[in-house]
Amino acid sequence: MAESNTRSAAQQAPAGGKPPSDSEAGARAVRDAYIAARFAGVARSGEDLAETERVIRAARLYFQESHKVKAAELLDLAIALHPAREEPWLARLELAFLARNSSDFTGLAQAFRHFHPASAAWKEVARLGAALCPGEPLFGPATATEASRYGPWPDTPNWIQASWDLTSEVQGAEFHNAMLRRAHAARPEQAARAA
Amino acid sequence: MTTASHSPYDAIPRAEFRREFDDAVRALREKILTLETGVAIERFVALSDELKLRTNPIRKQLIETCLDWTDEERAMGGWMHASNQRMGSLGRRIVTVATKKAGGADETVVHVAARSLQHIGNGVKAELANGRVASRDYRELHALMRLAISLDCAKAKVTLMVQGAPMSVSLEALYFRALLLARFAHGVITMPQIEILDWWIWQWRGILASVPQATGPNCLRADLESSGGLRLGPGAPGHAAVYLPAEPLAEAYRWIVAEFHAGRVDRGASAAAALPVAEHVAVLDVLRRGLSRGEKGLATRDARRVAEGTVEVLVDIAEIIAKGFACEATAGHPAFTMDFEARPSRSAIARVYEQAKRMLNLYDTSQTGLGLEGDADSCRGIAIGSLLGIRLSPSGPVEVCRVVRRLQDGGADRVTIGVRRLTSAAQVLPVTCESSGSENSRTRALLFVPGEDSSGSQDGFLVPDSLLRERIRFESELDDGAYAFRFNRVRQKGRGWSLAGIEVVSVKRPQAVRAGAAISRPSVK
Repeated sequence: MAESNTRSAAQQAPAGGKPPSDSEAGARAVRDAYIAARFAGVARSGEDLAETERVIRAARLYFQESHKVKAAELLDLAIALHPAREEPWLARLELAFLARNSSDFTGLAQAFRHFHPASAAWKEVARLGAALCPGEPLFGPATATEASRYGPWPDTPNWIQASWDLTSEVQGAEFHNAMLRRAHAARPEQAARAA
Repeated sequence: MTTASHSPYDAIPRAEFRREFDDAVRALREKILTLETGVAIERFVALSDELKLRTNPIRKQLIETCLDWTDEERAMGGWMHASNQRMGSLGRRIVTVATKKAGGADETVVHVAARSLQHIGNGVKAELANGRVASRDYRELHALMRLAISLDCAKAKVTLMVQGAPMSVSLEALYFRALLLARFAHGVITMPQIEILDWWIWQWRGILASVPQATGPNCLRADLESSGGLRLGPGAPGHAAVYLPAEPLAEAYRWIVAEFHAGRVDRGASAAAALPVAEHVAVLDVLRRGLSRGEKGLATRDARRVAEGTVEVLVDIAEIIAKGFACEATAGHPAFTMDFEARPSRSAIARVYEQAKRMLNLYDTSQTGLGLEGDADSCRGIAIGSLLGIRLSPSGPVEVCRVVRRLQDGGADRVTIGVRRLTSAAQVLPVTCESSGSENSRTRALLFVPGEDSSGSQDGFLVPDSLLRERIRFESELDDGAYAFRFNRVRQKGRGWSLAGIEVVSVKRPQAVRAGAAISRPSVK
């Protein structure tokens, strides 16, 4: 399936400030129910998508598990509902960059520029854009250091909040091994088969 | 005149009416050759209208019931399937005879062809109630499409009543509607989900247009001379086929997703649209898998090995933990009291009638799943998406599986169940849990599912959905420390359960556990 695209929804995001009408409340109820079902365990409503760190971490995990469409959709929704926050935009841009999807990256970058014209991150966005889409006037000429590697390295921005010291990953592996040992202790033959 | 509240069309048609209707269809079928074409068409249209109106309350009841269908409901579903198929077949005969008599097809004949295609599609939706995959046969559908192509009216549009509203639709769109429903409605989705899918397909009717040549590896193919459903990719040279390009379908899928994002779904538009949003999301998942299968290339089915024997089947997390892991759960934790979600809700009466053991026949196995069979009573409570625990041998592990297919033979009392194996290495882990909003911690048992990857990144726990509503931090003591973790996403979802991925948030090493200090890095000597 091609990437989801909700940037048009971002442009229709409610400005807030006045109480929602019945139809707005109805639309919100439908959207919240959709978010709760589609992103179970991550968000229960559109409000939850304001928790940027949690959303970006979930999107990164989806992406790592090859659910690229779901990762993009989660961030697209977060952007649509909370367009003033830069972080989901940047994480979405980084995922598009890592997926080497130049048209997606360019479209996102244009929208990001529109919503965040004074962003300090634009220089970095332009650097990635120039590496991914050479010749695209939006990004200008490529700089000497080209981003090409995945992960929290000096030449990628790590807007997706990958762990710098891999603490969480190490602990996850230790937990896995401890559970394997536990299985061995309880049922040696079965655990051997499972391993 | 009857008032609206007492209209016979609001009530479930009785067995007597169903017999009379079947007799009327049979009588018209026997007289097709002798009746004047106009009269035959008039009678067909009257029967078609009657069937549509009379099956509305049946559909409503079948999609609203959240329990297993009763025998009566199954009989009604079976009748809905069979009578729609018979109407499709009758309509095709009328079109054939009419065009032979007149040397072509006028508007009324095209209308009969359209209604016939609509009836076959309606029948496909009720297939769940009436039999196994092996009995599926779409020759009648292909024959109608061949007729439409030969009469040059496949792209002709007619206006049909759909759930009380007039809709303009082409014959080929009706043909593809039936085939798309057939592709998904063979036991992998529930009746409400089929209705949701059908409602969407009606919205997409404008893009269901055939092309004579394959437009890429992802396009769907209908073999006009076959008895089968939609296939992927180009067909063999020389075989009569029409193609449905995949990209417009993918675009339609994206349109639905965008509508949900914007909350623009009109929940009052139809009975299907009013169904819970979670059901819609489940259908989107099925569609996504179905459409992306083409992108990944032709899927091959795992080789099945015939098996024999009877196995005990445990249903849902609570029962799997209680009966499948009874010894392990408390081993080493004498003071541990397990807290099963489902237990307290069972009344004393329910426990009296609780089935001691649910035994099903194992009829085949594959690398990824199992095929089971049992009588309707034994399979009551097992639905698509249910979580099962199956022990294939007394000393073997509990195979934790999800139900991916469930079919009940129309007349017989046999239910066929296909399950996909989630893990053979599940463990019950006692944990203490703290919700973010409560100071109280309590113990419970979680079902751990190891991932295939040794990094632990694919590990998860099978948990009831209710456990995901709160953001709970869990802690469990293992041999090298006390691990604190929380759920961070759902990796698979079923009927009332989720396979939740985890994130380890801290580890207390044994000496640190005593000191009460958390160590976030492994100790280095």
